[in-house]
Parts: sequence; C-alpha cells; structure tokens
Amino acid sequence: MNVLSIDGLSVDLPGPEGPRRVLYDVTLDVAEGEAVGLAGESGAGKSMTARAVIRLLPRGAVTSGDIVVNGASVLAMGTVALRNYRMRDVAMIFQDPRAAINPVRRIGDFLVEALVERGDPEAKALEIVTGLLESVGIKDVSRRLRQYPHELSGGLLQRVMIAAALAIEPKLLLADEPTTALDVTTQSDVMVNLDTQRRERGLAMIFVTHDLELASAVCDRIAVMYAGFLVEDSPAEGLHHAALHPYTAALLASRPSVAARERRLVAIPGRPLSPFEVGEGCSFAPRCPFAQDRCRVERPILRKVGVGRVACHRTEELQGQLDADQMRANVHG
Amino acid sequence: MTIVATPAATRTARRWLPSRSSVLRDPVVVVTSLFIFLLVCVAVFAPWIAPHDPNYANILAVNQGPSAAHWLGTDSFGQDLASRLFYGARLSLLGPALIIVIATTLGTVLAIAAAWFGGAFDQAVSRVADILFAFPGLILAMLAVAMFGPGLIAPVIALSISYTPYLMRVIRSEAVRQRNLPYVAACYVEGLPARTICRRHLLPNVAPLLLVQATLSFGYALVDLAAVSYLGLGVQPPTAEWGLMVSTGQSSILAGYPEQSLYAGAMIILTVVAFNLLGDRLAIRRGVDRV
Repeated sequence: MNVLSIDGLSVDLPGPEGPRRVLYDVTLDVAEGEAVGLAGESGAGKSMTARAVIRLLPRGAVTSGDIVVNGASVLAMGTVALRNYRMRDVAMIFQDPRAAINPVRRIGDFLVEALVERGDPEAKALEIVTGLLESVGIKDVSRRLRQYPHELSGGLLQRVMIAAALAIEPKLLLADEPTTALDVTTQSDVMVNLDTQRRERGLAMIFVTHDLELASAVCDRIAVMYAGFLVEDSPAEGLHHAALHPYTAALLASRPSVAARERRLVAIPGRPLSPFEVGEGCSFAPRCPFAQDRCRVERPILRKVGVGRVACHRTEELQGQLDADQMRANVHG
Repeated sequence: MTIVATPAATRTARRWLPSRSSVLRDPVVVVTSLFIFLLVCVAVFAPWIAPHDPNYANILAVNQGPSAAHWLGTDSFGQDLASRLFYGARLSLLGPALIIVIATTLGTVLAIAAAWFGGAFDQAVSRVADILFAFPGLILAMLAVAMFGPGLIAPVIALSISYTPYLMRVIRSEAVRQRNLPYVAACYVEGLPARTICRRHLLPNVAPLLLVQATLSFGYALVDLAAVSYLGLGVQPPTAEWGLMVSTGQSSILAGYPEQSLYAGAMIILTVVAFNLLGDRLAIRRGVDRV
C-alpha cells in the first residue's frame, strides 16, 4: 500500500511577470516503509516537491494535481484537517537545524511542544522525548533538555530535530537535505542514525539530497529531478551502471572518483535551466549529448521501462552507453 | 509552560532580558539602571521621603537657598523644591510609562498580526501607520487637550496613539523577518495553531528589540509629555510635575532665582539621558539596530 502518492503535481509560483511553473506534472509513489531519494541540482524542484507534500509552499503558490497521504488528499484539506495531518501523519527534517529550531526556547520545550499540543500530558511527553533522545544517540539527556539551541553543536541539534520528527510517530518522513549543513564527519553519524531509526520504525521517507552516493546508500529508490521535471525513478541498487536517463548518467559520471586520478572533473556542459525557461522539448535536450531533433520539439513523458520509470525518448537505444564509468572514460579518452 | 524543572523566575528573566552575565558587567547599564531604579523608588516613596508637603506655600520663606529645612531651597511661592521634585517624579514617570505600555502593547499586537497575515492586512496597517506618522505627537496632544481639556489623560492617550505606529513599524520589520525563518515553518509542520506560534515563538524572538525600543521611546515620551506640561496643556498648577516646574519657574529666572527651572530641567535631562543610554547599551548588547 502506498503511504504517499503524488499524482500529476504541478506548482506555479507568482513572479514579477505572471506565474512561473516550478514543478511539471510530477508523479511519484512511496510505499509503506520505503525510502525514496529525490536527487538533482539546485532549483530542480526537489525541495519544492517535499514541501508540497506538507503544504509548506510559498505564499501565492498555485498547485494542480493530487497528493494523497494515507488515503486523504492533502491539497484539499481545510485548516483543521491540515493541522491534524501535520501533527500526526507526516514530519519534516529541515536542512539547517540551527535555523529551524526557535533559538529562545529550550530543547526540552521544543521537543515537547508538539506532543502537548496534540494532547499528551506533559509528563508522558517528556518521557517519550527522553527515550527518543537516547535512541538517537544523545547522552546526558536531562542536561540537554534544559539547554538552549546555541549550546548544542550542529550534529547534536540535527539529532534533536530527528527526535522531534520521530516524536509524533509519523508514517512519512520528509528529510530535506538533513546533513547538508553539517560537517562531513558528523554527516555520516547523523545519517546512520536517521537510517537506523527509520528502518526500525518502518517509516516511509522522502530523502532530498544532492548526493547520489548517499541517496543510493540509504534509499530503496532514487527519483532524479531536472528543471521541475521528474526525469527518472529507478531502484537505488545498480543505478550506477543502469541509469535510464542521460542526465542521471551524466550526474553519476561527474562525481569525483577515488579510484581514478583525474586532472579535471567531468562536467555536464551548459548550465542548469530554471523550470520556467524550459521550452517545448525535453528539458535536458540543450545539454544532452544524445539529443536529437525529436528531443527538442517533443516533450518525453514519464513511462515505465524495466524496473524503473524514465522520461526520455531514446532510453532503449542508449542502453549500454549510459554507464557512468564509460561516460567518464569517453570524456577523458 | 514549565516542562523542564527550572525555577520559573530564572526562566522568565532569561527569556526577556539580554544574557544576564554580560549585561551586568557593563558599567553604563549598571549606572543607568541604578539611577532609574532610584528614580522609581523616589516616585513611589515620595510621601515618606519628602520633607514637606509639596503644595504648601510658605509666604514667609520665598526664593530661599539650600538649607537644612529646605534641601534645595524654595520657589517664589515658598514651596519646598526638593519635595516638589520628589513628588514631580511621580507624574513625570507615570505619564511616559503609561504611554509606553499602551503604545508597545498596541504596536506589538498590530505588528505581529501584520507580519503574520501579511497581504492586505499588512498593507492596511502599514498605510494607517504612515498616515499617523504625518501627525506630530505634540500637535495630536494639543488637539486632544482642546477636545478633552488639560490634564494627564488626554495627552497620554494622544501621545500613545502617535507612538504606536513608530513602535509598530520597528517591531513589524523584525517580526516579518522572524516569520520567514525556518523555525516558524517547523512550527507549522508540528501542526501548531497560529495563535501559539505567534505567542510562544514570534513574541519571545522580537522581545529583545521590543525592550530596546520601549526603553528608548520612554525617554522621548518623557520629553514630549514635559513639553505638553510646559505649554500648560498637561497637569495644572499647583500639581508638582517637572515640565510644569520648568514653566512656572521661568518667571523667577529674570529675578535671579533660576533654581526651580534649573533643577526640574536637569531632572528631565538626566532621566532622558539615562533611558537613552540604557536603551543604546541594550541594543548594542543584543546586536539589534537602533532605529
């Protein structure tokens, strides 16, 4: 059963010259207990998709399509239903914990607030929260609860954030680049922790990230976005050698490799398009080494190919050429 | 909401005041706070510490210099100047205090509401504030006095109205900034109602700025109210009030007895300087911009 199904989601944001489209017809399902990575460049619409799921869109955003969580349509919810939904069904972990936790409230107050608001007595809420902090690997919990956010390190704060997200026992977790604001050594700790907690609880998760490597490590499936389009949705395992979309393959090829000594990193030529700049053809066509005339005039739709889904006209013809190592070799060759 | 076991008093103090240890090490803050505290004590305990009835006119002892009986001498009616200054502190501090309480309360509520709802409501509130800016506080106060008669209440209400948009605007800008920070989004995500987010999250975060602005405005309000009294539109003689004392003492200056105007004027200046210095220091400590 699907915890989340996004069906044909489009989002327009108001701009100086009328509405601008930032998401095009995104369709994505997340099954119970499944983790889906949303990868892509900045501005591709990853965060926007995650935020749409919890209705945290900028003022004036116009949405179409449907988002269904546990059988309820999120976009149609009224104020009370929306609050209940946010309070019980879904939780979000933000990128920068320092910005996302009120600096003038104690950690204990921050953690307990949502539970008390939901109707738990304070003593019980405190008990839940204490247990959670221990399980996310925080020591000396009673002292931490009394501290202010500025007294904790970034890594600790992000664990607090994770604990806050788990506290409401949601069915779906939205993690918006949860480790980007942390330094590399704490990143892995926090990530391992988040992953363990998620698996233990059988939570579904949308994991927004730039880091394909990290996404393949913690996610079951990877959805790649480009310029507001979902271009590929494939199992995480084996993505490296079996990318369906040229963009995914190019992304994978442009990572620095530990094994190979390279003088220059492989780059995708051109610059990423903003969603509203996309013409009538495939959004990636201007930068795609495999683009043909058809790609420039006819927009490919997302279709099932093998175990995944892809929006590319030529994916079948290109199989074999979309191997990351090979692409890298071609460039350097 | 006391969840974690800490004494309620320290929680509140910590939340509203800039971090204590650093502030109390600043000599300017210490001196000005002590001075203001002393003033408030004088105002509160005036009946007990004043050596004479401030309104008792001893016609046989006019324009006297300082003596054991009259610490600061007497005015042209033979009233004891020290007693009048002590009693004067009451109205001279109560007036601005009322103005600041009314103006900050109204201003904060409007500011947070404007920041929260944004859009048309924000526009409406901000434009009305702009219009009120066009009325100088003193002129509004004169208008109020013309309508309701002189005294303390009319100018206080008029000045409260003219101070509200000033405070509103400063707090609104901070509230708008805070409202767009991710922690407010995180509150949404927790499913907290708007009321709770405003009260428990936005308000404490604008509180430092609020404190600074209220302190600074107190000085201005005191000057404005003294000016109203000086012009004869505030409380009426023989009530002891500093602004009024400056004005009634004026006629004695040419006769060679400037003491009454001088002392009352000096008190006004000292008090305003103390409040401004304190406000400035709090602003620097807090890292908020003085506006």
